[in-house]
Amino acid sequence: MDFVSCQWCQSQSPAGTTSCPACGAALDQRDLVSDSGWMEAPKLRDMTEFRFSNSVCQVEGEVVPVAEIALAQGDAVFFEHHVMLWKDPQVPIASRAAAGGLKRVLAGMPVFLTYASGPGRIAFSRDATGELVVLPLHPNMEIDVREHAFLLGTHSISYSFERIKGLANIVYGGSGMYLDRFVTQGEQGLLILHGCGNVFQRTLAAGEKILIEPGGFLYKDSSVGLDSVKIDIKGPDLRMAEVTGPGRVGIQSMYHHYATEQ
Amino acid sequence: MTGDASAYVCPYCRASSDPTGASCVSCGAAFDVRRVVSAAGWVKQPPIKDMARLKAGQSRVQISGSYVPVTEVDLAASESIYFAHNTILHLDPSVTLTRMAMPGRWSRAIAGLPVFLMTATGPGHVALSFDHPGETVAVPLQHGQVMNVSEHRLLAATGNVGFQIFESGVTIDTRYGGVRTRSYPIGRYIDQFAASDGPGLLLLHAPGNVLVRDLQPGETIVVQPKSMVYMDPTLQPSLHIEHPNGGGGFNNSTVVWLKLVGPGRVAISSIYAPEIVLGLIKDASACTVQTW
Repeated sequence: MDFVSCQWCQSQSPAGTTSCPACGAALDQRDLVSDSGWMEAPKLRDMTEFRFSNSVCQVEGEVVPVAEIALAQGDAVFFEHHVMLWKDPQVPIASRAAAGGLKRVLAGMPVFLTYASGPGRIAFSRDATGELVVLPLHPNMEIDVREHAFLLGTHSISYSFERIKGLANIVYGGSGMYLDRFVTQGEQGLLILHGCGNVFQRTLAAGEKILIEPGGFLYKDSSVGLDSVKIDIKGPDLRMAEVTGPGRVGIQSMYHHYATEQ
Repeated sequence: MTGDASAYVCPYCRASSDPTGASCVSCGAAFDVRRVVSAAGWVKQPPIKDMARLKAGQSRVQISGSYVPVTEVDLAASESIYFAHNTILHLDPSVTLTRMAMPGRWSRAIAGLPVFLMTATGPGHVALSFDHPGETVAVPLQHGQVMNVSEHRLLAATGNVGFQIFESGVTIDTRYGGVRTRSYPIGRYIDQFAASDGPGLLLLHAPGNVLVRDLQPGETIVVQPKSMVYMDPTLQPSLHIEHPNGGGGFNNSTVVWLKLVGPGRVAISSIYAPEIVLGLIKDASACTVQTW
């Protein structure tokens, strides 16, 4: 049997499959990559379905997409409680305190994460124009995400947070004090993020550097370095985030959260 | 169809273009999109297609994304662009950033405009994006062409395009609760760009969709003041004030329009902040008044 490889998540699917069953990316369209190497996150077609464990996720809408999960018995997802859009009444939810509660309060991060267990349906969305970024995590992967950008993670993913090192990085870095860290052990997991505007990803070679507007940073492999650097423009300080490979880095084009400014 | 650049004139930017490509290299308008014109004569500016490429001097511009497009400029050595510092998304370490001296610094600060602009000089990539959904509009300027642009619409301009600001002169004075207030329906200042040293490229960001109209000599149109994106300097802005309910006394249903008389081109965006008049209009700059 012939197989086709998803350029976004590297999963293999039988030839002729129109969307990746692991991340929903269209397999019958060419990937959009800029001349400098930034790859656009796949535009998930309305009503696209993909699977994790025994559950199914369906993406609805395009401007502010909704992720609707049909949770199977024994499967669960975790999320920040305010991203729930609707759910079946019988889907149980429970909140659990995340480790480092006081630090999280000081950092303005949610102290409790909410867990929903199957069977039943539950749907999620954030409050800004943007895209869902579907990141299937293979076993033994670590990924760092800016605060308040993750929509949901599956039960097989360990969640912690990583304090950003260096005062300058905290003050000028644009990502707050902490990065959310998602880790898989021996089992595959699925992480869904919400990026404001459009989302682009680039894979940096070892030692390769790029400067990013701090608010535009969305996620990175934990192998990617993140520092705040001052750019000399003969005037007021200009701080940029310097990311250094190897690994993937994701950015969002609407880095100032428009909705909360209204 | 041949690759003769003189054979095709883009209906949107009026520049000669190579018709064998996918889109106009000057403004990014796709060749395979049917021209959409409303019955009134508004031309819908087609959104620049994802990954479309434009040329500006020896530099190349690529537009990516759809909701909040990213404009990525591959700057050739010694070529530059200028832009507001809060629109940088990413750049190569090889790009040199410098602060650009601005006229009317204090006036701009009072008006809430960027006090300084930044210049990026090649070689290397620099990418810019705005902070709300909308469209990137590329306006190629022919040698000698001048274009007036609303405040806060500039994404970037090539380094050879001259820039200045001037007072719009469009004002309304109102009295409400004993307090007299002056408002500026199209903004206190207008940005003016001039291609005095050869052809240049102006990149703007407009919220929502963009519509363009070419007014004939003497043709008049009224539009929402804050919808204006850019206009030819031949269009002199004034106000048109309408009182729907007979006018007089305290009347907050007053409508304020921007009045434009041709000849010239105007571009408007479909998202705008409406001009709301609170209290009595005590004075206004040049305007016409209609009471219904």
